[in-house]
Amino acid sequence: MCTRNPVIVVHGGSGRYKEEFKEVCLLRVKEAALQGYCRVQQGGSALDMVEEASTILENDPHFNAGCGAVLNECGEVELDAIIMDGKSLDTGAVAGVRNIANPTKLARLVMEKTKHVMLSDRGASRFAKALGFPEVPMESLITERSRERWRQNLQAASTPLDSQIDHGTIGAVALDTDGNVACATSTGGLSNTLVGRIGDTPCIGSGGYADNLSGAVSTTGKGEAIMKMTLARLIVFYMERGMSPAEAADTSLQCLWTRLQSHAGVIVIDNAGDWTAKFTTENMPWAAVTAGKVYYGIALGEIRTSAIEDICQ
Amino acid sequence: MAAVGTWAFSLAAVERVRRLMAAGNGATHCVQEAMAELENDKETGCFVVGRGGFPNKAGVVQCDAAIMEGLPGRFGAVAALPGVGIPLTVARVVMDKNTHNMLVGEGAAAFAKEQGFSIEDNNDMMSEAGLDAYEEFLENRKSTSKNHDTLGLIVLDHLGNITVGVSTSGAPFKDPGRVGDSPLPGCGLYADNRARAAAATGDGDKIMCFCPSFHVVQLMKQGEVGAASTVSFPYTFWARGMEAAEQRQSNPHTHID
Repeated sequence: MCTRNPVIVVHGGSGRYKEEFKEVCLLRVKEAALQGYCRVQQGGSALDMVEEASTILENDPHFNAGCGAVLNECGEVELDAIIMDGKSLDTGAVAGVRNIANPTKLARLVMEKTKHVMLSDRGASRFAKALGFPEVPMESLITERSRERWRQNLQAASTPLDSQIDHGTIGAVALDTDGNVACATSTGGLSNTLVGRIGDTPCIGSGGYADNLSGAVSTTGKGEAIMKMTLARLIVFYMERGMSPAEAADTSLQCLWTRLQSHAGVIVIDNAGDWTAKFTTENMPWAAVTAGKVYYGIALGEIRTSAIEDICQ
Repeated sequence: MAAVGTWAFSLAAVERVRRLMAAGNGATHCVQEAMAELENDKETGCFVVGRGGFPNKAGVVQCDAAIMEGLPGRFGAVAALPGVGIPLTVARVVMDKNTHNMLVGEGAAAFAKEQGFSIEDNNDMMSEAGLDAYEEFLENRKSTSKNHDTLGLIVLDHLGNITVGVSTSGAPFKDPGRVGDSPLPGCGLYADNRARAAAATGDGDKIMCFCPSFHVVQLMKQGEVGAASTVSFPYTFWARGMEAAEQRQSNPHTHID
């Protein structure tokens, strides 16, 4: 029986963060990573770890996922999420789902309770209702920050994509004590987009990918560019060919820039427990927990470390 | 110049491509026009494509379609789109607008309407065969259909541009809103800037977990040529110099050159 050192890496979205949000976002990502790590201490799997971390950030209004998500052109919250099990390649995803606070949990139910991978729009809501999955009023997911951003983007001269450089997707990758890897990614998409716009997040191979044979990835950045590169699957492809997570991440992010002039962030873990958090934007709040330590940062090149107390009750 | 299509029923599409290319049309136009003809024909709906395709569990025909160009890397897709008999053409418009890559469900339908497409009544999207199959499904509460065909078409034009398109009405009697492999980049289709492209067909919920189209294109980049099939698979093919498109069969574990 394999008993590896478990690892979890979590990100809160790549971009350029305003000073007033940097420390709180970094703190929340760190907390999510620690709580995700606790799941494995409690006997949880890699899937449990990534679901826990993603759910915590979905419930936090500072991130573009769940509560706090940006609004589409009609001022509504539409959420996308994916979760993937590296052991079986089983995957669940939801796209354009409404009135749901925790799309990662719903994506996991798609994986476990249906023979499909992705459910979208009203079909996803219908599935949630049939399972008694909690529905919430859309208002409860809308923050003043998202509403204000939406209002400003209604101006004719606005550039929604540029103004959203501080408010990105969240995600997690993990390796459990059985040697299984998993990934999860969750987002509210881009502000003021067309109703029904889907980005990379719920698309397998783009927003995330996990395979026990090599590792797991979660991505963040401009969805349209990430999809054209199938960025997560590209990183796993390079790891299949022997690159380390850091090499695979650097090479893939470089490809994304060269080919499509787009920046992004990725968190990557391999099946031996090696991990990385890489981004070509100015910031990406990230945290990793393994072997009694937590590593975290938000600026390019920054890695802070501290020992973890026994925080898992 | 060349074109390849999935399954025997794509012969008409590949033949159309041959004529369009002879008239000087480019890869993207050929893919769109050739596929629209097949998508919109109720008779070919039994191949799980477009008008006449199989409905979802609630009796509604929802289509997935996507198009990808190799050189500029442009991509456009629609998923779970109701009421449009030529979903690949809507995907092309999404691609041409170049603000977003993919639209789903009611949002996709609203976009299509705005762009001048009619959103038709579901009855006009259903064929008699599809309706019969649906009624049988309702009676037995399980599908006896083993169909998971998809129309996939790859065209390489006289300028060396490559475009790939895929279109499907999805797994028969699927859950409403289900999105399969077809419209997802790297899964149902993929094209890169060195004139390499792939399209996939099969049980979408299973094959998408492998991102097969992305993988095939990457392997081609590494120098592996052609493609291998693990099952006996009919396809259609035309290349410059041939008088007409041909139906061919790939055999398991042999290369297709």
